Amino acid sequence: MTTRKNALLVVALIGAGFGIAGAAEVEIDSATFGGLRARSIGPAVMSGRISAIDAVAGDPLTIWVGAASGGVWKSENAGTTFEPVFDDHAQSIGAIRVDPSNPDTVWVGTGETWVRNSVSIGDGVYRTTDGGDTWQHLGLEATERIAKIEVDPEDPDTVYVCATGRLWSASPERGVYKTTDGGATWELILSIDEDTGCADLDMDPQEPHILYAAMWQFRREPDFFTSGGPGSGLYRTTDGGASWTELGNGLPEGDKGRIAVAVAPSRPAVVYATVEAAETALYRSDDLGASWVRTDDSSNIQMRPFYFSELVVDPTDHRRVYKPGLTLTVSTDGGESFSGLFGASFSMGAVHPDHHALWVNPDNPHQLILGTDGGVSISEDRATTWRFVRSLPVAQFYHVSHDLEWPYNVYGGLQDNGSWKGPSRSPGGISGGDWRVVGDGDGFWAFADPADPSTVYVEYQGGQLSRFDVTTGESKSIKPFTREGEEELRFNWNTPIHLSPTRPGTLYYGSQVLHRSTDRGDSWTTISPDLTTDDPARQRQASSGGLTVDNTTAENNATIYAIGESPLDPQVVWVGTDDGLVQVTRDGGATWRRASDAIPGLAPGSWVSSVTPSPHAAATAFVTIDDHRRGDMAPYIFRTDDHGESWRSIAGPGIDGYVWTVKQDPVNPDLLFAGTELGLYLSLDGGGRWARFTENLPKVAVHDLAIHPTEHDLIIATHGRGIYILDDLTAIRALTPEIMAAKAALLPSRPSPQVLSGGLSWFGSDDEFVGANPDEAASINYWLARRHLFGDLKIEIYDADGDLLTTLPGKKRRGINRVGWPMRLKPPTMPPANALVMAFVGPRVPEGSYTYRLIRGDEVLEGTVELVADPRNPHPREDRLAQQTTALEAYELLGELTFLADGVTELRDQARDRAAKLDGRDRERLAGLGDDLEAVHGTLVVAGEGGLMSGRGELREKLGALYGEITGYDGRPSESQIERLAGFTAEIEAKRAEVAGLTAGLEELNRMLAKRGLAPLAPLSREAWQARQEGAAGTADEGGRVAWGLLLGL
Amino acid sequence: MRMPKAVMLGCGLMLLAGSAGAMTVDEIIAANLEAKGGAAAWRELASARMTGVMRMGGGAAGALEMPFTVEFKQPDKVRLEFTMQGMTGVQAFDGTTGWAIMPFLGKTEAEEMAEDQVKQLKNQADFKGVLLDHQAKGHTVELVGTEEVDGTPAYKLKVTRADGDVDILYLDEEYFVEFKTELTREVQGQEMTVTTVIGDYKEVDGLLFPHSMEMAFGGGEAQQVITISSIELGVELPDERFAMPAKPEAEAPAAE
Repeated sequence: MTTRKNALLVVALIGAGFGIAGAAEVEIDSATFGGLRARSIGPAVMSGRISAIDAVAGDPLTIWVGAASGGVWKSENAGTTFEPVFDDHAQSIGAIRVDPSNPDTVWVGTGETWVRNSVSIGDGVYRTTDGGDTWQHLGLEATERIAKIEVDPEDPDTVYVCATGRLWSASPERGVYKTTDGGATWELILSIDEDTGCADLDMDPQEPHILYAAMWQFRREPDFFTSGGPGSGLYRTTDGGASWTELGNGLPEGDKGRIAVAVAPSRPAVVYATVEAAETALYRSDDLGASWVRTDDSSNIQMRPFYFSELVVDPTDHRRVYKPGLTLTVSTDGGESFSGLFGASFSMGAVHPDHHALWVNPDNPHQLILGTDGGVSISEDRATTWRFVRSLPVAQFYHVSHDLEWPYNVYGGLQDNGSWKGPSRSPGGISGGDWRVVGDGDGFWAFADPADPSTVYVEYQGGQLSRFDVTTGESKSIKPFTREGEEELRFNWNTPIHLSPTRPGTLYYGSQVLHRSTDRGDSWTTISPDLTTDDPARQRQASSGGLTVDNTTAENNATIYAIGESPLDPQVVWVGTDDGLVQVTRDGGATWRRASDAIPGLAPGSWVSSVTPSPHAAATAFVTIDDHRRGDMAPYIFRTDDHGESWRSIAGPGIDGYVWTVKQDPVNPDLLFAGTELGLYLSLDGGGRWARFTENLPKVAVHDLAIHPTEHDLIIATHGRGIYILDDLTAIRALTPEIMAAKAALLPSRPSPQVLSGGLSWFGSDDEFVGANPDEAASINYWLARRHLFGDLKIEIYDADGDLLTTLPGKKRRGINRVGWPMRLKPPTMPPANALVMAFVGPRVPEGSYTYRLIRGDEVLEGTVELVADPRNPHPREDRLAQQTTALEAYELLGELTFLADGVTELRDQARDRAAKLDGRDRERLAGLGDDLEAVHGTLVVAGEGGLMSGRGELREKLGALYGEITGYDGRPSESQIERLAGFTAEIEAKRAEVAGLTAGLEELNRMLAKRGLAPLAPLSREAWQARQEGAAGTADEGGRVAWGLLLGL
Repeated sequence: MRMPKAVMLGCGLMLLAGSAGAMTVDEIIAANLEAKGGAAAWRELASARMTGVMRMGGGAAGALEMPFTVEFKQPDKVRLEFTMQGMTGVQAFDGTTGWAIMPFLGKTEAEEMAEDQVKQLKNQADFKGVLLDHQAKGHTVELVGTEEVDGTPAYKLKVTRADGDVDILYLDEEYFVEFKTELTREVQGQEMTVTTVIGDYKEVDGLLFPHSMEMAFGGGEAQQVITISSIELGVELPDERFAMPAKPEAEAPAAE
């Protein structure tokens, strides 16, 4: 047997190029983190931006949804539930097209083309031929974004891709691509120049050789956006792309911007186009694009073409045209006039504004599926009323924070979806109703005041800061204003709020200068000069937009973007700007030093995406640099250990994507977490090597991270998939090179709370996303150097007396394994009867320390887990003990009852067996004994047919119910319960005596049986019964499912 | 840890076959069967009884556990018993009829099972695994490729069963035994994927059996874990054990 070539090696390499002070390089990969899984807590209550939709008309509808940065989702039940089917690939979706000749073949173009400032990136085109189970990457990696895909209805191997191309840089990989071999090879069949890509593409459904392509010249810069230029134009081919003609004859002259084009499926000679120009308008051609008439220029037609450039013609009516935009308007007269579809032209009612995708059912044009900045809505009545899809957790968080409650809450703001507060756990799971909106507009940073969690500091775009009272719902604007004689304050779209980690009530706010408040934002002191370059060339937002000015604060630049006060020294404050500067003060703002000058290789003007002071040393800080807005997608992370006098790169091998944030673990200084555009990355050696965390966390942009100081959770803010939590970092923190060198080793876990049994939850609905709770179990963590295959791998749990409480099956993966112990004894032993009783789980074990043994073949490793009370548990310790003692009494009494009942039925069966072999008086005596025992049994359990709804209850049912009541409440049982339990104890004693009475003459009977050559009656001994119980306490919620599982599993 | 003898044989085969990447699907299957004790020994096996415990749910719900026994008799008989709160449920297939006793909600009579469940029982009756004599059984096996699965390099085999169901098997690249399967099954008309992590292989009378299965329905964390405590081979099992019992009315009435 050879060692696997990729076996984990611990390499001690403190070399010149990669030298990381204090940490030997540790080779890791995604499997190092083994079975640790992130859990998604959503939310889906506000959902997120949708960029593409396609569907298959059928009963039920199959719906494909592309999220702006949250992957591809499929519904096979007309939108009741959605499943993510694209988690391993680029999460930014530009186009989805179902093959018209095969609904299991679906093409996905990655890279959204609604190119707002926060847009993500794609990496080409993918296809599934099995309904989304598996995907093939079919190239066009360098296109970055794809607006549309058209599949030839007569030849599924002929596909056209409308590649918009790179947003932040010039590149030749853009235009219209065509394949005739199912994506094996591509030909660029329409290309203008390196600044102009394809923004829309539509195919004549009757003549698939006729296509219309909208070419768009556009560019985004950190501080500016340009839509339009000489490259833009509308083109048509009538020969499958061999030749193209630019269309005019009625279309506007001069520079054009983004164009949307739509062929009327029911009469393909009719073609509509919205054309961004000096005067943006809708045009119609009735002759396949040969000539055009201008028909409408209402505000929803004209508004923000770069963001709203979708046009849909009703598939059954060539005169009915939908214009998704800021709102949804419709024309019924061939585009001559439009009206709002929500009763008013601007909807703030049932549907989120900002519409990017619309699908109209060709078989039932009253049915519409609309994608907006706030998820998917479905209409069954031609857009009169809408049903919001509550099962798409594609929330786009910019930032996340937490409070110190138990369970703690998370806070964060989202693209066009306000700011929200939600719990990290909730009875029955974390559902939409658990979330509370705490701010509107586009949300970014949001923090609960550590001194008063009912106060939340929250903002919306461009520096609008508020203090929100969660109790009353009141909001007070607390933003600083430009003072007399000062330069106008410049606030970033995503203005940094920073709470002092050392002084509650002190907060920082960044414009081009740093503002500090010591009174919760009621007043502000400016504690810095302009910390940016103040370069006028980066302050062009008023004219940003190109042909259509779009000054929304999204392009505000030369501003502070990141702030960090050292948790170890409040005089040390770091600032990062969006124009390439890192500044530091060591005297609370009196003097500032430009620390970015010392960052090696830093391209001037790069966006500083985060500055994070170390929790371990006041002179240490981390900065991340994100230059993707100038076309550089590489990861940059730097570290200083001398207050910014010098820096070194810690973006070692393994990390990918431009970086949003990095956090140093507060316990293990070598453990780093980085959020990039392409996921979450961890390093165990201070940045020497990185590995992506992949378990239940898609390859989604991670914009922010927070580490909870008491729960030790990593809170992950994704821009596209909501919030994820990686529970309990304790094991990862302990993953030293020594541990990883072992074949198997134990890893610690945080103390496990015995979560209160209460917390009612009602029936849910499949159409609502519900976020996962952490396991209500004590975690047992261990390391395996390779997968365990042969021999036992199990965990035994012992109490303080050394008694074995339970044995758990072990997990077997390479890397970290986590096994949950539910902190309970085995389920109670119950005598057989005819229905289940609400007493399924064993009683909780008392709080305290428990020893466990990890048994791996012949090797035994011993560790301990700590069980603590739920921090909310209001019951004094003696009451908790009273509960545990009483529950244990009831539990044991159920065992006694089972022993008694089993003894009675066995003896009854023996007596009846012997009776059948006898005759005369002997037969009568034994039959009588059988009947007497049967009668006793009938008072112990409900036997025979009847079942759950019979309303009958004997000792088993009554005692089982009482046991269930007592275990369901963590405080002192009621006097009535204790009294009733005592009553049952006496009753069982009496039954035992009754049975003893019935069997008083057993010896004499057995002598008679011996004479007749029959086996004696043998009462069940406690020892025999006990032996039978070993490993055999059983219960479950539903038999069918169990058996089903067994069948499939074995 | 001591490696079972059969596994050593498997490793030897691998060496004979040269570089692992060059192996054909037939060579991989042969190595798998050899690692598990050899196809000939498996073919001789006529019956088996497995006893163990099943745990359900994650976290606190993982406290639900129940003992079970499952018996197999060649060629196509199977009987499963499991106990909850002292009550015993039965599911069995006698080669013709699939039936069940589910006493948990008060019904104690045996009932015929739904067609899709019978189909799974029937599949289950083949407890020696799909790879053994797969051609004779009408299954086709293809090697999809090699990939790292949950940190373990694996051969990915796709088995299309005679009835059209598809099993994906992941075989450890070094030892050739299955450590993960993905079964796609129709349940109540809907497709469901069951992912099972397999482990704790132990030798029983020279044959290698897994003693642990962690199962997840539709992805995610394991919701059910089966631990087998004992396996008896060649047990005496009369055919009647697998046959559906007659209605209780037909049974002898209790002595009065």
